[in-house]
Amino acid sequence: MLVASGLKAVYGGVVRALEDVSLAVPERGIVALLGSNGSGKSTALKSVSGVLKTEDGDLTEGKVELDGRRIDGLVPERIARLGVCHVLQGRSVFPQLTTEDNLLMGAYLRRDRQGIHEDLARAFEYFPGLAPLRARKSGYLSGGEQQMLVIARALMSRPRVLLLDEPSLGLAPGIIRELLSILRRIRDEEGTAMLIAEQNAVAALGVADFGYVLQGGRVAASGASAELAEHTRVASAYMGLGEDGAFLSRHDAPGTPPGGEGQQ
Amino acid sequence: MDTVTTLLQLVLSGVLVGSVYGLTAMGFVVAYRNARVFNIAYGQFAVLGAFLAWTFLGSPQSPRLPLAVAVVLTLLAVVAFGLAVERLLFRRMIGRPLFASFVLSLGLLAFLHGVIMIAWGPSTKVLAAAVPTGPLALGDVVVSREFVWSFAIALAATIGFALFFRFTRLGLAMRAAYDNEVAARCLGASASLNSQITWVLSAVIAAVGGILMATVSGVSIGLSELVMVVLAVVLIGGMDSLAGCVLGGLILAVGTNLTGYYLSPLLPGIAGIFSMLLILGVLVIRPTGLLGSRPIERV
Amino acid sequence: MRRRGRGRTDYARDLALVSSGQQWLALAVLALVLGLLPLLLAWTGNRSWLTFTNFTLITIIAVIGLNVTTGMAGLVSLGHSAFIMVGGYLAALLMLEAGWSFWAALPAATLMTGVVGLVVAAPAIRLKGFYVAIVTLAFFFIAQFILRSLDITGGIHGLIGIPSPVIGGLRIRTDQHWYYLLLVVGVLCVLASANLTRSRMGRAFLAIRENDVAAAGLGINVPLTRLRAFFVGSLFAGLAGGLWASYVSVIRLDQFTIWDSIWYLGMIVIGGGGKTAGAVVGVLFLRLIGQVLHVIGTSGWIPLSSNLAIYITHTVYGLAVILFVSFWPLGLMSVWQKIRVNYKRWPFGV
Repeated sequence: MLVASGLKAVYGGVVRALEDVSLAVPERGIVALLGSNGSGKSTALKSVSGVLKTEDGDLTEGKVELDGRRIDGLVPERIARLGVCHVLQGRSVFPQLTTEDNLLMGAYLRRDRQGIHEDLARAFEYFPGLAPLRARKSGYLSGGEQQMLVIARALMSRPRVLLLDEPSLGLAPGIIRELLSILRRIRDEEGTAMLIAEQNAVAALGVADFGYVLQGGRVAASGASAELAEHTRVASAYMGLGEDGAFLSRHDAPGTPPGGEGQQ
Repeated sequence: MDTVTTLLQLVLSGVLVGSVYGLTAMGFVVAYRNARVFNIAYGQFAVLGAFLAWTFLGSPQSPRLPLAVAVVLTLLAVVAFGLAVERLLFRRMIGRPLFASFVLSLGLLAFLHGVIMIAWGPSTKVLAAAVPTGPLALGDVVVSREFVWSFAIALAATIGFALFFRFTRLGLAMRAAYDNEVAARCLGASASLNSQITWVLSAVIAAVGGILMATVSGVSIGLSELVMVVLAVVLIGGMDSLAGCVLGGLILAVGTNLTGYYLSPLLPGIAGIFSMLLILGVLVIRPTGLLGSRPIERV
Repeated sequence: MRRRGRGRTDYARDLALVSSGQQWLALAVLALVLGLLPLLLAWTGNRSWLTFTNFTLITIIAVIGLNVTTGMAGLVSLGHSAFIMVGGYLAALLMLEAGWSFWAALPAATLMTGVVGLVVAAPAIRLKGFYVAIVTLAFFFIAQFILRSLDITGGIHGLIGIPSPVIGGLRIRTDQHWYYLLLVVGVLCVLASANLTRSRMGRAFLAIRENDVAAAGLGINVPLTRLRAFFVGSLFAGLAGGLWASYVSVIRLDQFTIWDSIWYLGMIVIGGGGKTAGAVVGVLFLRLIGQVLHVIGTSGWIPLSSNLAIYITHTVYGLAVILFVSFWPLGLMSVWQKIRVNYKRWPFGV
């Protein structure tokens, strides 16, 4: 459904953030985008949602297609209208607006009053923690609550694809687990596809079907999440080890430093 | 006139005038909040509105078009002006620092000043009354009818804005965009629409304020000093608070009246700089203004 | 391929004020032209050009000061013409009431204006940039109010009969005399400002313009630096004011309007904020446009009442500021830089 091919992105004309990134998100699929800081995960998401341009960034090569139609180069609000909802990094609530107003803002593009009303109730059902905070200014919510709110808000737009930028950042492990299981539930019940950029590989792969690992602006590895979870490529991409980049045997216990034979 | 009546008189006329100040200031706040522009040319916006109204409405001696027609034409002209300012000038400034757009507004100030003077000249014109005039007696207190009408219009407009921002979809989007513009865009709120509405609102409110003031003091370039009043109001009430405009306007007007009456004999001309002193006082005590929300970066 | 232009090939060259033989030559030619300017202008037959030049020199001195406060340190000052006014009145009072000579009154007035700058800056040093603008705006009106209310300053009529300086027995009377005096002072100011740009204090100014918090992190005392920026800026303004008062020999409130403050800011932006050369260029640009408009208006080619000419000047100035901020925000100096760089790099474009 969502296909990005050969993305090459640059900030301010000089800072190269993506060198050659291609990925795909199928209908009803949850795809994890992994990698350490600076690997290009956020930039990849921004290239899809159109936010890249607002940050002085440019897609110098490559294209992004939604259902075969090119969307790279469109402004964020247009892309949002096509059903792509980008949840920005860092709990981007509207602090002066109440929780409820935030959620209503999520439904900005919709006109069906009844539907919005129902979805509002559904949001509080998915995220029961938010219900008592309905009338509170969202700036006063805790980190975990804000993150819930931001995702619930995105869902109010009934998106086809949800782009999530590091949803687990700064959250306690218990909350992360809860959040990710809600995401899976949403995919199962609503059919929303998701592209989740995460540093927390273990958590992300636990909920995703498929994953890509970014390193230095390129895709270093990809595969079904079960495969990736075991694959030491992920570890080496994180720790910058493994210069030979060779696939290690499945029989190596996870955690074994790669290139064990080579090092004497 | 005994003391109580005098006091009542001063306060009441202050409230009436202050409501107009407050309304006018809202146009400035809208541009500051949603377009992030400190528009020092705002006074010229008000003057332009008043002159346009005069062009269509005429003066009592030589009236031109009927009231309804004149109102519509003025509104169209002001909306067109707001759109032009947005498209040609401030859209380019999105994302640039506040200083740059401030200097741009300085240039606009000079430009508009020159254009208005060339087009209409320096003499004061009297605006044909759009509202009934003459004194109105409420007990012992006398007020002018224009002021009462102005107050009513200002009140209606203020309530209209409150409703707009609170209850409409567009108003919600504008509030959200002020908090986090990119997040709002990711939810489908159009940045260009936001910008256009902001500037049209700003221009229209300025025009209304200018026209209301012109019914009292005539239409002249001197009306541009309204920007000083507006600055005082927003500094007192808070740069990003619409409610603060109301409060600031009332405090300023009533305060100026009282100062003028009670202190002027002792310090001639004190009423003139009362607003300056009030500004400085508020800046020192509460820099964000009485109802302002964003904290100023303190080093 | 032959190398075009002069590159800076070593650190000494890079740091020097004048960095190549070519630049010395250009400077020499400039000095010659400036030295002979009064004669050249007399040749045109129009007296007003020399007067115009003198006023321009005074403006340059004043705007160099604003360049320090606003261009370098980023503190928007809308009260600059008020500082000039204060400097002028102080110098006039010292000469008229206290009987001081020009050479004593001028430095004293300059210094006192600097102190006034400190007083004005004090309320706003801890606040965000443009609150400073509000304070300076308030200062403008308050200063006018105070000067209008005091008897000693002559109220709205101002002061007259301000004496002109005497150098070694010769009284500076004609425009020619004044030109050379103002030229010398102007050059000294330009040098002082250029030096300031390259000094520690100057770099501190640039730092707080860019980012207060980062500057504080480098150990720069931001409030103190802001005070200094205002102090230095007002010094130049006071100097300009004192010179003005003596040159015109009359000082009145209506000589100093808020429009002047706005034009000065425009000159900084058009010239290119932060560089001394930018300030000079900005002043020359706007003043020349104004003068051209004035000459056209008074020459009778196009029938313009003097009022209309003023309004047209406003319109043109405003348009110039708008265009520059929109398209060349770094000013004429940045355009010049681009040309130079392209010249050196040709045919390898930007």
